[in-house]
This record gives sequence, structure tokens and C-alpha cells, in this order.
Amino acid sequence: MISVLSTSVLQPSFRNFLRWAGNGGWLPLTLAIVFGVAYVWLLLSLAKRFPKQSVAEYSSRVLGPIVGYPLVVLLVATFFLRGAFALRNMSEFFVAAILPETPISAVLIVMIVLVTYAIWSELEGIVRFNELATPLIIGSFILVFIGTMRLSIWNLLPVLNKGMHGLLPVFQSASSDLAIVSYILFIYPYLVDPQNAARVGSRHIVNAGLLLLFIYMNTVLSLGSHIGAALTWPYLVVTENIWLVERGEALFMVIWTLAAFIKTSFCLYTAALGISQLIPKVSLKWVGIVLIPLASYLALIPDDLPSAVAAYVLFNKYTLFIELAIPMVILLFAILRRMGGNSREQTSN
Amino acid sequence: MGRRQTRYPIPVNELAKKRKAGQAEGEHTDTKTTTSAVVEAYDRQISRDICENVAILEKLLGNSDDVIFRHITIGNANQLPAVFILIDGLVDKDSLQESVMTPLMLWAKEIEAPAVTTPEAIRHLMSEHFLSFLEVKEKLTYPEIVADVLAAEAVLIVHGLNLAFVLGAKKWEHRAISDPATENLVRGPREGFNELMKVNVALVRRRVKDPQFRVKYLKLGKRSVTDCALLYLEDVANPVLVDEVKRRIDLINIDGILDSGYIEQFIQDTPYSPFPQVQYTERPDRVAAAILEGRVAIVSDGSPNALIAPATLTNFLPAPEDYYERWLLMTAIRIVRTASLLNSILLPSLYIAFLNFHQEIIPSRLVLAIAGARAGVPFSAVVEAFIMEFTFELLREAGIRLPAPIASTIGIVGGIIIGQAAVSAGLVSPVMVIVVALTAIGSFAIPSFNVALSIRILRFPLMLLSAMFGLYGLTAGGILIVMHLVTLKSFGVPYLSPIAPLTLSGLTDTMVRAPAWQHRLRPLMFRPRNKYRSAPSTSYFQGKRAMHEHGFEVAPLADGAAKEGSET
Repeated sequence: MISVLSTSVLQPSFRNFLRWAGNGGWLPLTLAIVFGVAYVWLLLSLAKRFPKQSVAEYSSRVLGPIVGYPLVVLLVATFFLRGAFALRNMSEFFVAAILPETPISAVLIVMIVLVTYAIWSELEGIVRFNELATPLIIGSFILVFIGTMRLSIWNLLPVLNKGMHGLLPVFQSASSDLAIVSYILFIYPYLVDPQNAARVGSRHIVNAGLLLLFIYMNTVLSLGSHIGAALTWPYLVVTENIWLVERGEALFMVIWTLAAFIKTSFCLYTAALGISQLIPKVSLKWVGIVLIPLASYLALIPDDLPSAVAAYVLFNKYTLFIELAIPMVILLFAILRRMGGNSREQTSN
Repeated sequence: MGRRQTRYPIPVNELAKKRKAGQAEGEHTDTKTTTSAVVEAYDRQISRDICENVAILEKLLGNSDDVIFRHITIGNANQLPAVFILIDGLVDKDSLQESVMTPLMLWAKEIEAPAVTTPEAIRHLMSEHFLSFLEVKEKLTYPEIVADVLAAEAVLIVHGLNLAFVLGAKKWEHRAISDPATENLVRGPREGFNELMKVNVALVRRRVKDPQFRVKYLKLGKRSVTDCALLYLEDVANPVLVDEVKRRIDLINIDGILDSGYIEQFIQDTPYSPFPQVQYTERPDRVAAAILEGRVAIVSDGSPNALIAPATLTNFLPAPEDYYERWLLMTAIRIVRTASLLNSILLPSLYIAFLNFHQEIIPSRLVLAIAGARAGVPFSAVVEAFIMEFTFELLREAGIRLPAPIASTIGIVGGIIIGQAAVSAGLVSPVMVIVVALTAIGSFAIPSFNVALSIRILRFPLMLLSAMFGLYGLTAGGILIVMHLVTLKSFGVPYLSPIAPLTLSGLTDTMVRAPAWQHRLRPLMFRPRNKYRSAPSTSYFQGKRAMHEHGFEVAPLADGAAKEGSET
């Protein structure tokens, strides 16, 4: 989760945290962590009722096939679109930061090859890679923080300089990022230690949320919310001004590439997993192979960066609703219909 | 190398007719069926008639000039015909002559005794009295006898007996035990394997004198019938692992196993990976250490390299001498070695990426110096790098093939002259020569030749990616390599263990070499049956405390004088 959430800094929408909430962005980010923990508990409450099945399998039985399947397709689509947006955001970032002469599609193609191989390696490969990359990612953020030349606590004042109205969209955006944890609904049957899923999931959400908060604070303390809001990628400017390495932002490209790869491959893998669970005869690997060029096609639809950013902001707005509503509805109906848990339905599972 | 199965055995006389009719050379004939069909046609117990036996065995063994049929008579009064069958050059003729032939031919008077008339009596006399040899076996069928003759045994067939005596008289010229050619150490044993399997097994057995140490013999290769041995500790090695190794070896279907490398290629998990999944070594101490960890070793006759499985990436990076020297020093050396590995794979790519895409990272003075050095060079950094790397690879390959005295000279002179001449001619910059030299030295610091080879190959695609996309491309290439490594397995063990999946106890022997007293656990990634190397309570500090508490005294000798002073 840490690696996946760390790519939030690559998103142009990260600067919206500064634009909307100013110095007070830490408040909705903190609340988003609380929301994330509650969301994990909601997801696991649902998953534990059907421990041997994924949401693609039990949703149709709980809600009926006419409602159940489309809801899961909607959930799968959110992951698919996340992957597509991650591809676009990452490509824009690299082109702007280090490859100004390179066409965006070339950058995209490299990432497509990587993601294809990741999906071919399946979940174990992605998870093991994540295990290796996460310490590097965390270490680099700490390094940036230590190396940031000017950290001024006064940049945090006044606390709510943009008022209260900007806090809600920040909360929404951050919660939407944290809501990626809904992948649990697809992978719960494969967990080795499902009893500890709640504890582990909560811990990961807290860690990821704290990382987001940490990055936000680093940006504000270094640049201030006014300057940060004026930049497309404020955190990139922070990395350009560290005393450890002169103009070392290129070195951090390694970290961004890792993070972007993890997020994109993870989102597209989850989408492919969902589809293969909806249609059991279809191989996950081949679904992934088909999804990747589709995602890259979608990623290139917005003509320019402002359009891409606007599309992403819109996506984030509705994704939270979808990812919150679907598990709640399924759980509610499962409780009302007494399906799952210790019921006869569970026995037949 | 093929796994094709034959279907129709071709009778020998038809094959002879085809050859006479002038069948084209090189046309595919299924020689497996030809040879084995002939031998299998005589798959029965041998006759009591020595003439018939000799005729059949002459046919089965062919017309090779090195197959000797030595006819003798046992006893000195023409009592009993017999024949020795052996292959010249593979058998200890002196001991055969001294211990068997002379007694049989000259001194075997008992054979003339009237009581010795039945085959059982002859057999008893031969096996219990005349054949004063340590290894004597009895074989009954023609295929068994043929196999034993070809396996360098001496066979004795006596008229009247429908069995053959197989005498273990193998002896042939072989290389003496010497220093390992490719794994030199500053400190440590200097014995290396040679080409004899039994000698190699004995070298390992000398180091693991445990009753649970098992040696299982196998024969591999349809025609070479190469002797191989599986070595492991029965109470330590995971039985699933041992069974899996045996299963994979049993599946090998090939004409000949000429080196352990053949076996490695058949049993590895992913043959298309550039990374080795089975370790090989010339050192018996390394094999012994691996066996003590719960791994399985495979020794093959004719090869001085023993295989060890499973093998993870962290097994290829340490050298044996890491465990013979002090832990602090060796930890530093390991860090240097890891840096060398990264250096050898990344340095040329970083040079290209920084020069072409990220000049801002390089300090101003250095970038000016590099720009000045590259002023007259007509090629881009990428082309320059490829030219120099390729040239160095050529020199390295040429150096391997040449005789030792010339090779070192060619290496030094060629490297210096070519490098200097190229710089003088303005084809490459001096910085590039330094980069290539450092890269090469970095690859030499990797203890395992096969991993170093993988690194050498992977360097080129990374250079290409760097040239196209800078650090982004280099990172992408690195991600591909790491993704491949995390999915690679060696006999079910993840290749990056104990780093991914993380095993804290295993980290005491990766980049950091923990003190010996902290190596209480065997590597858990191999799932040994017995995970403790030593008693859990054993520790350096406990031992030191015990010495402090109880003192260190030597009891006085019988005459009352203490041998050494005491210290507390």
C-alpha cells in the first residue's frame, strides 16, 4: 500500500491538496486515514462472510445476477481506470521532469512492457517486488526530508488559510486514493493468513496515509502552500532543492518509476483478476494482456495535461462513492438475507 | 540432446545389408535401437559352455581392439578353461595378474581334486579361495556382463559355470587432486575435485563424517552410462527436496553425460533464464558446507564440478573464504563485492544516462573535464560504450582460449595497446576506457563465474535502454530483471531468499556475515528437517562468561609441576 500510495505525489492532483486546503490539508488527510481504517473493517466484514469466495462470485448470489454482476464490473472498471490514469500521470511526469524530447507514447510503451511482465508473473511476483521496493521508497522520502534545505514551521500558519470549504475535496481525493484497498474483496480467498487481515490491512492503511501526510507536510514546510499550489508537481521542486545531491531529482526518478510501476501493475492486475473471476474460463494472464493496451489507449485520450488532470479529479470524485457504496450494499443485503457468515449459505460455500 | 523414443528395433543383419547397399552417411539411423536391440536379444543367463559365451560376448562387444579376451586354464594340468574379458587401459592389470591370474593358472591345484566336479563346488572354490580380490560380484546375464566390462570391470567366465565373476579392478590414469582452477582462495583448503567420482565423494566424506551422510549412486546417459552420486544428510535435507532432485535426474534421457553441466541444464527450473539456478563448485569444502545446510550435491564422473541444489542468488555471491576469516573483515569484503556486482552491471549504463540525459547531476568540473576529453570523439557515448565493451568481451574470450603464458600477455598488452591506441586515435575517450576497466574488474570480483556471465550479458540491454530513455530506461530494465528474479525458483525455493521473501534469520549470511556463533540456524529457506546447526544455548558470550566464572586452570601434572600458568 505504501508503494502504491506514494505515487500520489506524481499525480498533478496532488497540488490540488495545496490549492484547495492550503495549510490545512493535514486535517482532511488525517481524517482520510481514519476513514481508511474504517473502510478496511467494512471490507473485511464483507469478505469474512464469504471467506472462500471473491466478490465476483458472491455478489451475484447476494444481489442477484442482474444487479450483482454489473456492480462488480463497476468495481473492476475503477481499478482499470486507476491503472489508465496512473499510466497517463506517470508518463506526463517523466516527460516533464527528465524526458522533454521524448514522446509520451514512448514512455508509455516502456511501462506497458513492464506491466505486461508483471501481470504475467502474477500476484506473487508483484508482491515480492513490492517487498523489495517499499524500503527503497520509504528511505528515499526520508532522505528527501532530511535533505530539504529550508523547512519552515511558519509555512503552516495560518492553519486554515483557505477556509473550511477546501477540506472536503481533499478528504474526498485522499480517501479515494486510500480506497484502493478494496482489492481485498478480490484477493481475500487467496490470503494465507486471513485471520490477521484486519490488523495487517489497518496497519498498511495507516502507514500509507501517514506517508501521504508526511509528503504533504514536507512540501508545505519547504515551499509553502502558495508556491506549491502554483506548481504542477510541487514535490518534484522539493527534490530539486536538497543539499545531499545537487540537482538530484533525476536520481529520484528511479523511485518514481518503481512506485508508478507498482501502482499501475497492481491496479491492472486487480482488474484482470476481477474479470477472470467473473468469467472463470478466461485466463488471468491473457485478460491482463488485453487490458494493458486498452488502458494505454484510454490513457492517451485526453489531449493535454489540464484535460487529464480534470478527468482524474472527476474520476476520483465518483470512485470513492462507488467503492464505498458497493461493498456497503452487498454487506447490507447479505445481512438482511442472512447469507454468508455462520449461515447455511456459508456451509454450502 | 534428444528425448526421442524409438519404436521399431532393426535386426542386426538388416542393418548390415543396408550398410553394404551404400546407405548415405549421415542419414538418420536409430542407433539406440540398433545397439540395445542386439544386447537385449541376448537378455538371458549365460551358458555353461565357454565357447558359446565367448562368441556371444565378442559379438556384443564388437570388434574394438581394446577389448581383450584372455583365455587361461585354471590349474596346471589343463583342467578348466576360463576367459578374462576386460578393456585395455581401464583395468589394473598388475593387481589382476598378481592376485588372480597367477594363482589361478599356476597354483590352483585344488581344482584338480576329484571332489570338485559340480558347478557349485567350482563356484565355491573360485569365489571363496581363488579370487583373492576385495570386490567380487557375480553376474548372470549377457547385458549385465557387457555393461560391467564397459564400466571398466574385469570379468572372468569359467567353463561349466553359468555365471560370471566381476572383479572390481578399475584403474586408469587421472589427474591428481590439485588446487581448484576457478575458485582460488587466500585462506582455506587447497583441494579441488578431479574427474573421478569416487575420489570426489571421498573428499566430501572426509569432511562430513556423519553416519547420516548418504551417498546414492546413479547411472546417467544411455550410452555413456556415467556414474553419478547424490550426496546429502538424511536427517537434515528435506526429503521432498531429495525426492525432487532424484525425480528430475531420473527424467534425464540423453545419450551421454560428459560433464555435470549437462545435468544442470536438465534439472534446473527455468532453462530460459540467464541466471543459474543450480550452483557448481570445484571445492569439496563448499560441497560439505552446502550439505550441512540441508542442500543436495550431485557429483558426476568425468567432471571436476559438483552441483549443489537448490541455489539462490545469495548462494552465488559469497566466497568460501568468507567463513574462514574474521567476520568483520569479511562483511566489509562482501559489501565491496556487492558494490562490484552493481558496478559491473550499472556503470556503463549510468555513464550513458548521465552524459546523454542527466548532465545536471554531474558536478560542473567533472562534466567539463568529461566534455573536454570527449571533444574529438566522433561517436556518441552510446556507440563509444558499445565499442569498448564489445572489444573487452572479445579480449576476454580470446584470453580464455589461449595457452596460459600467452593469454596473460595478450590480455595485458591487448588491453593496454587497444585502449591506448583507441584513445590516441580519438575513437574513444579516456573516461570510457576507465569505465570499461572498472566494469570488468567489478565482474571479476564476483566469485561465481556463471553469475558473472549473466551480468555480462545483461549489461548490453541495459545500456541500450539507458541510451533511449536515460535513468527511466535503466530503471525499467532493472525492474524487468528484478521482476524476473523474484519469480524465479530453484527447486521450489524463491531465488531471492532470504531477502524476498524476507527471513530475518537468513540475513545473518547475506551482505553481512554474522559471527560464527550466531549461525545457529540453518538457512530456513531450504526447509531443513533439523534447523539447528548447534545447540540454541551455545553462544560466544555464554562461553566467555563460563571461562570467567570457572577460571582457566590446568591441573598440575603427576609430579606436582603445573604445565602452564593459570589465568582467571
